[in-house]
Amino acid sequence: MSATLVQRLRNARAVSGEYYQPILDLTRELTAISSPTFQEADRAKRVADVFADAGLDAVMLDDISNVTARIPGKDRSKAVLVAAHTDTVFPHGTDLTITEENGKLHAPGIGDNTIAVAAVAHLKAAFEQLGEQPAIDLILTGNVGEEGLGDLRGMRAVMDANTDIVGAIAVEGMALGSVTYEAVGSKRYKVTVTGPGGHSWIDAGQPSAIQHLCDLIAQMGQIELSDNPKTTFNAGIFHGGVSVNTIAPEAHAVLDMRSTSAESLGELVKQIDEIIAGPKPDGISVACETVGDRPAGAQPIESPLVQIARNVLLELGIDPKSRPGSTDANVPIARGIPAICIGLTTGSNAHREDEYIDLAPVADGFAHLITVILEAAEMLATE
Amino acid sequence: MPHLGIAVARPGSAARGRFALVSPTEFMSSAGKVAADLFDPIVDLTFRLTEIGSPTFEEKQRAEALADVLGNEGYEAVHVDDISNVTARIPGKNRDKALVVAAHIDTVFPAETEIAVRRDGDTAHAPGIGDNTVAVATVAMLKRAFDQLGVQPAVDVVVCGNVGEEGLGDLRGIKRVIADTPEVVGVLAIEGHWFGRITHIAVGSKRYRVTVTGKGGHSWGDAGVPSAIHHMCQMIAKMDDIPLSTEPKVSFNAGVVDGGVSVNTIAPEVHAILDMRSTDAAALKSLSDQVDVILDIPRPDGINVQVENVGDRPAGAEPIDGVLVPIASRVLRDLGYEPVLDDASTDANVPISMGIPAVCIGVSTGGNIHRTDEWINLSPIKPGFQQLVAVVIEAAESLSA
Repeated sequence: MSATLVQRLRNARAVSGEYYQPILDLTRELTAISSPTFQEADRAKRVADVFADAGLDAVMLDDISNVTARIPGKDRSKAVLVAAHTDTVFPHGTDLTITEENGKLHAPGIGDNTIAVAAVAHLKAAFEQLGEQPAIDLILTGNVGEEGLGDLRGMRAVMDANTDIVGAIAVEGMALGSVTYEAVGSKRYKVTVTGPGGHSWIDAGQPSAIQHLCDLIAQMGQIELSDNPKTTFNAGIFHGGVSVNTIAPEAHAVLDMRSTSAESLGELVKQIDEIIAGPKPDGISVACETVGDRPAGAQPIESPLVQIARNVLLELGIDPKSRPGSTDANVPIARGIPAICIGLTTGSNAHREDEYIDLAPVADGFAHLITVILEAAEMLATE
Repeated sequence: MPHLGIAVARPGSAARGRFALVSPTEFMSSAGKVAADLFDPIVDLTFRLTEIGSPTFEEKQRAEALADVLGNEGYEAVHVDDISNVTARIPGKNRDKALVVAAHIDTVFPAETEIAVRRDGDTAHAPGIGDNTVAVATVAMLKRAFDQLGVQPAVDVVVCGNVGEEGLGDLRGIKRVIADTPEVVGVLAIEGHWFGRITHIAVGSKRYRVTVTGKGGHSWGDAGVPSAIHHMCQMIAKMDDIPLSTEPKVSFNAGVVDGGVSVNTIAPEVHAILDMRSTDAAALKSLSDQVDVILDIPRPDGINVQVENVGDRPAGAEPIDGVLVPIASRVLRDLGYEPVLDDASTDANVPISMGIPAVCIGVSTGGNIHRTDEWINLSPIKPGFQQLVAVVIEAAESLSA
C-alpha cells in the first residue's frame, strides 16, 4: 500500500467528522425534494444552487437536468468524473418524511442516492481544508436517469459533453465496502403478441397470442448461456388472455438479458431477436419494444483505479466486495474509460419505502471518498 | 334474423296431424294466443327475477323467490333442495315418467354487480336478463299456459330453476336434479338468448388451473435458479404441439396466464387456465391424458407444478333422428323459423352424456352475454314461448310411449 494513500486517508479521517452534520443536513433537505426518474428538475435546481454556493466552477444545468461543476486540478487537460445520481425510483406523491432511530435515518431514496449527492457537494470544502488540489480537474455531477427506464441517460450525456474525462467514480449512498468494476450490461424487451382472439370452441383453430408467446419463451429458454463471461436471460413478467374460453387476443412478456461482456450480450440479443422474428401463425403479430439498454464492460481487478479503491477500504478495515453490477459506471467502462462505483455509507431496503441508511459509517465513508478521488486523480494524471 | 311475428292459424290449412304440420295448426294457433296473453306476465317476472342477483354458488335468494312464484302458480310439489335447485311438477296423464324442463337461475355476475332493468322499446337491458332469467320466467308460466289451453301433458313435467350452470358451477345443479328424479325420460334445457337454435351436441370440457412455483430470485444474482414462467412456457409450448382432430372436433386453449414479479426477478409463481373441449367423450379423454403427461414432464430442481380441476363437463350427442330434435325442428318450422342445429355446453350435457334424450332450446334473442350491458329483444318471447309450450306437450307425448 502506498504511503501517500495511507497518509491521505489518515488526514481525511481527521477532518471528515466535521462534515458529518453538514452532509446529513443537506441529505435531509434534498431527500424532501421528490425526484423520480425523468422528473429530476426540482432537485437538480437545488443541487445546482448548492454547488454554486460551495464555490464550484462552471456550474451547469443541462436540458435533461444533469448538474455539473468543476474543481480545477493542477493539470487542467484531463478530468476525473465523480457522479452521484439525483433520481429515485419513487413517484411524485410518495411520503418522503424522514425519521431517525437507533442510528438509522429512514426515508425513500435517502440512501439511493441522496446522501451520495450531499457528500459530493462537500468535496471542495474538504479538499480546501486538507490543503489538497486534485492532480487533474474534477467534474462533479448530480446526474439524472440512473434508475430503471432512465437507462443511464444522464451519465451518457455527461460523458458526451465532457471529452476530457479519463476516469470516473460513481458514488452510491448505501454501497460502502463495495468496488464495482465489472459492468453488467442489459437489454430489456417488452414483447406483445396479438392475434385475432375468438371463442375457444367456436373459433377453435384460430391462433392464440398466449400460445405463440409460450412457444417463443420456450425457445428462448433453450438458448445456451455462458458462465464466463456470465450471461443471463429472464422472462420476468408474463401475462395475457381474457377468460378460460377465449382464445387470447393479446399476451405480454418482459424479458431481461444481461452479461458482463458486450459481445456475449450482443450474441444473446441476436438469438432472442431471431426467435422473435421467427415464423408465426397467420393473424399473429409480435411487437418488441426495447425498454432497457445498458452497456456491458469489464476491467481487470488489477487495474490501478480498482486497486486504489480496494486499498482504501482495506486500510479502513473493510473487506472490499466486488460484484458485477449495473451502475452509472457502466457507461465509462463500456467506453474503455477506467471507472468504478463505490459507496458512502451502508443501509438497506433500497427501492422500498422503508429504505434506511446507517449513520455511524458516514464520516469514514466520506474520508474514503476523498482519498479515492485524490489518489485516482494523481494516478490518472500520469497515465 | 327471421321476421318475429306470431304465427296465426290459417283457416282451411290442411291438417296432417296435431303437430306434424308445415303450416300452423289449430293447437299452434291457440298456443300463440296464450303466448300473447302471457307476454306481459313473463316480461314482468323476468324483470323481477333479474333484479335478484344470483351468482353461481349464491343462488339462494332467487331460488326462494322463484319457489314462491311456482307456489302461487299452483304447481305441485314445489321444492327447494339444499343447493338451491327449485323444482315443481305439472302432473301428467302418466305419472310414472317425467320430462324435466330446466332453466338455470345462476348468472356470471358477482354479488356486487348493480342490476336495474332498463326497458327501451322492444329491448330490455340488464346483467343476466337473457342468460338466463327470461328462460326461467317462461318456464314458470308453463302451468298457466297449459291450464289456459286445457291440455294435460302425457307425462309429468318437472319444471326446474337449477343452479350451477355457469363457469365453475360445472352443471352441478342439473346433475343433482336428474339424480333426484329417477323417472326422468327426457330433458329440455331452456336458454334465454338462443331462440331458433337446437343444441343437440354436448360439448364436453375439462378445465385446469395450473400453478407453477419455484424459489425465485434476482435475475442476475441468482441466475440459474429455474423460473416458474420458463417452465410454464415449456409446458404450454408442448401442449400447443398436440394434434387436435376436427372430426370429432377437439379444442385446446390456454386462456389466461399470469405470473412474475418484475423484469429482473426470476418468477417464483405463474398461473395458467387451460380449457379442453370435445363433442366426443373419448377424444376429450385422450386430449386431457396428453395434457396430463405434459404437466408431468421432468421439472428443474425446485419447480413445482400444481393442477386443480376447475371444470368437468361431460360430452355427448342427442341423435338427430332421436325423439327431441325432430320435434323441436318441426315446431320451429311451423312457426316459420329454420332451425339451427348446433353444439354447445349447456345443462343438456348431463342428460345427453347419460343417454337420456335432451336438447337445449332458446326462448328469445339478444346480445352481450356475460357482459354487464347484456340485453334481450322482448317480442321474440311470444314465438319463443309458443315454441316452448308446443315442444313440451309434444315431447311429453312422444316420451310417454
